[in-house]
Amino acid sequence: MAKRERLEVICDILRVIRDSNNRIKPTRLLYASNLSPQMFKEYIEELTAKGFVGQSESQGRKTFSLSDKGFEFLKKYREMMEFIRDFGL
Amino acid sequence: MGSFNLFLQDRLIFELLYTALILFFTLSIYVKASRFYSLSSHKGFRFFGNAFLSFAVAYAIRFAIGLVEGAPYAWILSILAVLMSIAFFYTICLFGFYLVYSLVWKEQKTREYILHVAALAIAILSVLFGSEFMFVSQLAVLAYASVVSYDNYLKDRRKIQQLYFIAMVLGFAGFLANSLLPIISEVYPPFVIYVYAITVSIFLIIFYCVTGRWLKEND
Repeated sequence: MAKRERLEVICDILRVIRDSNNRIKPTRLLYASNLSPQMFKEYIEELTAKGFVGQSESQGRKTFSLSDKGFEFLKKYREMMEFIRDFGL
Repeated sequence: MGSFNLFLQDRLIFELLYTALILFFTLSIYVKASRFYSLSSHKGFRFFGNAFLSFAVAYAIRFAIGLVEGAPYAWILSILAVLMSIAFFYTICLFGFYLVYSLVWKEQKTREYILHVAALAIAILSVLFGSEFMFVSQLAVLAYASVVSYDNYLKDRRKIQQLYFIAMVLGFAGFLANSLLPIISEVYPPFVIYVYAITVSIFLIIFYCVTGRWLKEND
């Protein structure tokens, strides 16, 4: 399997969250994202810092959900990938 | 020759419209690329956007140089004209360097400041010894950009990739025509209009490539 590009990994993580009714536990997201724990931690930190993903806690359980910016990224993802491919970026 | 006489009569208005057109195309491309960069942090968007921002700044300076040159002579204006010329050559060189860098940054990880240092060095040489330095460097980078964009086109053979390759070749032709402008316009003055037409065509094509999908999406 070819190595996923950085944007593809981000898109996969965001899609998993969105497709889980926009609420997912960290362990489930880690398995579904198909990343090593270290890589997963780095990506989640980046996505949280950028405001794509928000964390919330209820009854002592942490969950991730998409912000409006995260939804916007998914909406624009295909267009961005086409732009990268067409202009060789 | 009738249209050329009209061009000469209303040169300032013509230059203003020409500059406005170039600024509209280049800044629209820049805005689109920087929106994608702010969303994705993909460096290619930033380098691509910076190329067109540099060209927009270069053309704004070019227009200002035209105004300063037309003003009554004064030493302060001549110093200003030299500084503006350096800024113009610097931003034009940055356009070419950033454009090529946007194509090769994944393979050739050059420190970004080197692009600025090289552009500034060429700008100073161009002001001191003649614009040949700028033209030769930009012809080289655009020839390289043409080859890389053609190689990119061969991978998927998409229409936008083909148009972008055509724009790169036109860019090369445009810089070549610009470099020959002083010689050719001696014998054929309307040649300047063809050079302007080539320049507008290049940015019109890239503007279409960049915004075409976006326009369709909002239909």
